[in-house]
Amino acid sequence: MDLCDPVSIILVTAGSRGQSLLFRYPFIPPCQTERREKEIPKNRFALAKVEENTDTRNFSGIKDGHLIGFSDCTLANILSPNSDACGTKFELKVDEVLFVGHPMLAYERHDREFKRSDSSSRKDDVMMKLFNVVFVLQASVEPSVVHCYHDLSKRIAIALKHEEIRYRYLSSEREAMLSVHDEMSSMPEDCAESPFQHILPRSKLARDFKDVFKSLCATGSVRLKINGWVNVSFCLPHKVHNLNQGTIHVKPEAIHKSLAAIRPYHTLLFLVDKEYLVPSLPGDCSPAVTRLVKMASPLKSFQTLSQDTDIPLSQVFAIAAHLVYWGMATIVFPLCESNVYVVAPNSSTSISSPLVEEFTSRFLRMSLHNVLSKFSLPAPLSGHKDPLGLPQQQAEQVQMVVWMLQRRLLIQLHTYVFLVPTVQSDQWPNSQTGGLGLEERKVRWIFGDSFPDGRSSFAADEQEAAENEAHPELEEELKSLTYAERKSVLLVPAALDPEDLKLFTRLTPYFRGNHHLEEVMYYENLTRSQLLTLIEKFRDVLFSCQHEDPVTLYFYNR
Amino acid sequence: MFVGDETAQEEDALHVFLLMGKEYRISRSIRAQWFFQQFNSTLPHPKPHDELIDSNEELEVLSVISNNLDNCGPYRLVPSTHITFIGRRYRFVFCLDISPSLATVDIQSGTVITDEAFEKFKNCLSGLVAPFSVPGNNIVLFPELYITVLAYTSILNPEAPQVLIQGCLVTEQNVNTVLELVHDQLTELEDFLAKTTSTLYCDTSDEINRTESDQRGMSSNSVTLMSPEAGPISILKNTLLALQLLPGNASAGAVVITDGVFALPDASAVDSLLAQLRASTVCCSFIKVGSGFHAHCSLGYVPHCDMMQFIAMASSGAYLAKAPPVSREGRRVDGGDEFTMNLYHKALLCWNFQRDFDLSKIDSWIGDCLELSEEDLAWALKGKRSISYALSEWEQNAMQPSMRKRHLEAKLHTSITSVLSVRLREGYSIQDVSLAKGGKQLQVRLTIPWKHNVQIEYLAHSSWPLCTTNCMTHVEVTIEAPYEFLHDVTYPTKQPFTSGYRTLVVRRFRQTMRSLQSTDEMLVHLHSFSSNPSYYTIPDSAKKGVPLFHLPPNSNNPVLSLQHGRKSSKSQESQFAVFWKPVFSLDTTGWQRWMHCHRIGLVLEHDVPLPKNLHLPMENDCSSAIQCRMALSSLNSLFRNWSSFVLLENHSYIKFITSKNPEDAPLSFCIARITATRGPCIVIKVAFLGGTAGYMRNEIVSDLKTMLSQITAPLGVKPQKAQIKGKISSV
Repeated sequence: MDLCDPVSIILVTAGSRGQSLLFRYPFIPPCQTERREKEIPKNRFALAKVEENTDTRNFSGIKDGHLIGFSDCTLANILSPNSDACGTKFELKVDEVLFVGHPMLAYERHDREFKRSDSSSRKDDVMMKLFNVVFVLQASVEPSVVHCYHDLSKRIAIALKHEEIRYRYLSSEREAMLSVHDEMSSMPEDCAESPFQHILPRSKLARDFKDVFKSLCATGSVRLKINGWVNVSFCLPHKVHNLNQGTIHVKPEAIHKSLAAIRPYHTLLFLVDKEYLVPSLPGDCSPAVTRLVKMASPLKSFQTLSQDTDIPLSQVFAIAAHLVYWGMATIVFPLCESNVYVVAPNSSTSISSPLVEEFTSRFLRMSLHNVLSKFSLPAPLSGHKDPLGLPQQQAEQVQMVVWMLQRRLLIQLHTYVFLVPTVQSDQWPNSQTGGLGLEERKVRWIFGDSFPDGRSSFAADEQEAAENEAHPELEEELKSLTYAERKSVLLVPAALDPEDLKLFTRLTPYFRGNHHLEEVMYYENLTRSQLLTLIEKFRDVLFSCQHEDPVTLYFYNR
Repeated sequence: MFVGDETAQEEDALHVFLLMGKEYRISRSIRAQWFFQQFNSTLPHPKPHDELIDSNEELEVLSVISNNLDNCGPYRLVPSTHITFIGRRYRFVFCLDISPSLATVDIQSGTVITDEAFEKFKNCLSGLVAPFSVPGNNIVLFPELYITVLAYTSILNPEAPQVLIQGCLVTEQNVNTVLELVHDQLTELEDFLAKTTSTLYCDTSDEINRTESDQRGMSSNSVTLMSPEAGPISILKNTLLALQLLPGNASAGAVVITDGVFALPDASAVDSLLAQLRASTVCCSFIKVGSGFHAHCSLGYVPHCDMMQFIAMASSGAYLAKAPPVSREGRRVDGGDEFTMNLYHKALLCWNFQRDFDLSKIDSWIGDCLELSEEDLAWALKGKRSISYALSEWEQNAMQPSMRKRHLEAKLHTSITSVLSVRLREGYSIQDVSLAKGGKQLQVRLTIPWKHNVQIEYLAHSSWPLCTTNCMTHVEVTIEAPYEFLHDVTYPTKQPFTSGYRTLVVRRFRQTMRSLQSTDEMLVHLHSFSSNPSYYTIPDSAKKGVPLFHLPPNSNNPVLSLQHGRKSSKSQESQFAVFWKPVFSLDTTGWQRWMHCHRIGLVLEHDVPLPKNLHLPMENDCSSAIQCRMALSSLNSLFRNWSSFVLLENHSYIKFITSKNPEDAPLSFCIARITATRGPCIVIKVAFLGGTAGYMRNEIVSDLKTMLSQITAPLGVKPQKAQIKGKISSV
């Protein structure tokens, strides 16, 4: 059982009849305890077992994913707080068990300026003071998970309160549940059937809670219509972003970070089939979402998508972020032939991995390991292409790459360029920087201008007068460079061509290793060949390396 | 220009508030004209209280503010002066969206959004009815507010009430009753919708129920779910209709309270919607309910804030992401009779055509995003994750750098004021006004948002001071848009775009540019009226009452009625027709670009006797039609007498507006067109050439109305024959 899964969901109300636990799911089926009791007489020598049983009776906590040892009465008492605590987060920890909820007052005296006409004539017999929808969790769970469950509890509470004021929905459901409890208590003692079992067919709310619990355990997302009207929609990111049977576990913080960093040249890669996704959206959802989903393709960037769908880019970003949060999609760089892919370091390559079978059933006569092995060394996608291959083979190859990207088996490497001066700083005529070790310099190259002790910038200032007079027009542009960098750039033979030098100076801000080639191409409107030619011309001062884009990296749990 | 001793002490006015007249609506071009007339001259002091309130002037200066608070005038109107117009009478249609997408829990505000919609409506209305005074003048204003409240839902059910309140004059005294009424009806509607959706829901989920309802028959067939794409269009269509039913001489505003879970189908729908809004000079404002976008909003319900902002911006309305309550206590604290303008006064009652200032009515997307609850913030801080930083980075990434490209240039033989008034009517707003070339050239920069992030800039310049004869205006059209858009529209693509939406955007853009050119051509044409005698000298035949054109049977193409034997193209008639044929062929929906339009509604008396068996279908299953031929013919003869000449019988009539000296060329003309020439319901549209003074128009229209109320059908037995029941609205 997953740590994030809820142990139980409980509905508690307090009112004129005292606190009562109206419903809990899952309720321990009485047959299990019965069977255990019946076992005892059968095995008359099993003394040890009797002891164990008494142990369980005193034990309170979570066992085998069930909440044990708390009577309904105790739960009702501990889960209905003082009315002062209503409308705030409710968190209670008892040993290994954590109760999270959001208690709400059913009615507030000065609730609204404009009361419903019937609310003034409401009879006093209702007298439900407060209610609390509580999730029972394991105490060792992460705080962010607790926060999410509180969020869900609050959402349900808000919806229930709205429906209570509008329709007295909760009161009527409460009455239905209480009447079942009364019926059961009037039954003879030996009938050990759980009242909750009987509540299920008689209360829509109870069935809703059961669905909430089940879908939380299964998928981590909840979509509920309280009383068939108010939408409650929630997703547990810890669960939704669990991939490949839990081998990849993406934290919600990482999702937020990556969402903040999406760029117009990225795109969406759907993790679920579009044929599944579109019908799963509510019928009256934003039309822009469906339009985008229909038009999206891993080959089109957000920018192109925005043009194709006639939706502003910011809105495209919002929808993309939304879909990523809900675990429907992930962010990638659009697929193209120049993309370099390599096997993700933490991907499971075990022979018995269930992915192997999934792959073979998806792509007939293909072996996952065989295909993955082609990606053990980074190479552009065009390099994998069989020059004699048929178009449909190529299309299938693209499909395979998409499939592997969806399961995070591949990562994409981007080329980042660093400006590394050839001129040593200790060649400066009048500086005392001899003390600067080689190592320190390297550090500076990598971190750009931000030098720890500021000595170099001071030294560079002194050099202002000795500025190369040959290129006065470039002075402004090259100002961001240090003296050594400027000097080395001008020493490169290609710098003699004013056009090349002009382009180079325009691009220098990107040569700090923070921007990959594709980003430079997008922001500076250059073709790949233009950029590569320039880098080749200035190869003496440029150093390039390949690594992942930090944005897409967040999805790899590393 | 005024030159005198005072000029030395004249102060540049920073902000001028103007009060508009009450009798009839002050059109945007009159407002622009005022600006250019007062340009660089000294502003009059505001009149004392009673005089100002009772004044019948079109525009009265309410207050003038300058940077220097100690100085109290005189002030000079300079290009940078902000001018705010405030009306005495307003009509608002509030449209509350209560589609099922609003029945969603909003975690950030901790409510169900449906509740929030009413809260915000309440805040807004109570803010609006509060009396206020403008800065710099302590006269307390109580503009009349006529409101209609509509409810919109995507579940169409004939039983659902959609008009909650119609044509109500709201004051501070009755506002609570009004709110209570709206609230009761809203809750009733919500109950109704909830019932409808839950039955729909059951019908689809339960097999048994479905068959049962099939047997029961029609119960659920009358309910149709509308696509959310149709949302804004039908909301605004209903709103425009409701606005037409409110007093015509009031400034119109549409306020849509919605969660923004909708979209417009495509570029052409956006265009036609905006054209409608601008044609009826409605400021469309949005009050957003529900929190701004956050990734964990309910699945599928992503609010489209950009679109709301764009529509608001394009129709000079406001976009309010938050609608806080207006505290009355707070106002009292400021001191007894202090009535400062609140948010809603500023956003919904003020109008100005200067763009930068107008933009202050639009809450930004960024602000919308940062709307976080304290709890969220606390969580973010605890998690050492800076949400605000992340969001600002996000904003930055979604920003597309704009580029400028000059699209076309032209010289127009007409005055700059008429060019500007056409553009202002089309929805352009003034970005800046300046005097260039040492005060010899007036330069006005207008802009219009065409699409999100795409803006058309229209630069007009002409010599200064403005001369009345033979004026020339140079115009330049520049597009400001991201590179990708410019690329799409500039280069003819070799292969068509695969996406229909994209193709449509490009096509619409080219159409816009073409219509911009043709509108300007038409403007020059219309304004050449008084410059060429052959355009206003009525041919003899037309003087006798012969219509200039006639429609041949089975044709929509008008043919010039020529007298026999005079078929040469040089004839007086054909010269005359050169000018009038384009006027004739103009579509009434586009009239308001060049002309001031007025609308008169009529119900005609039917012919007597009525056909027998009127309410019974005939053998061929057709009902007999009711004819109004007699009333129509008397209407026609009235117009023939009223007009200077007839353009087309039963259709269009022209009346010249002569100057005081009968020898001079007519100043201007007006056209009356009878639309819907069959049924008993008839609309007469009267349009005046742009620049015609408001009092003149008002006089002619009210004369016409009096005449119309007096005519009778010739065979009439009863005195009230051609009964006028319509209301008159001017646009």
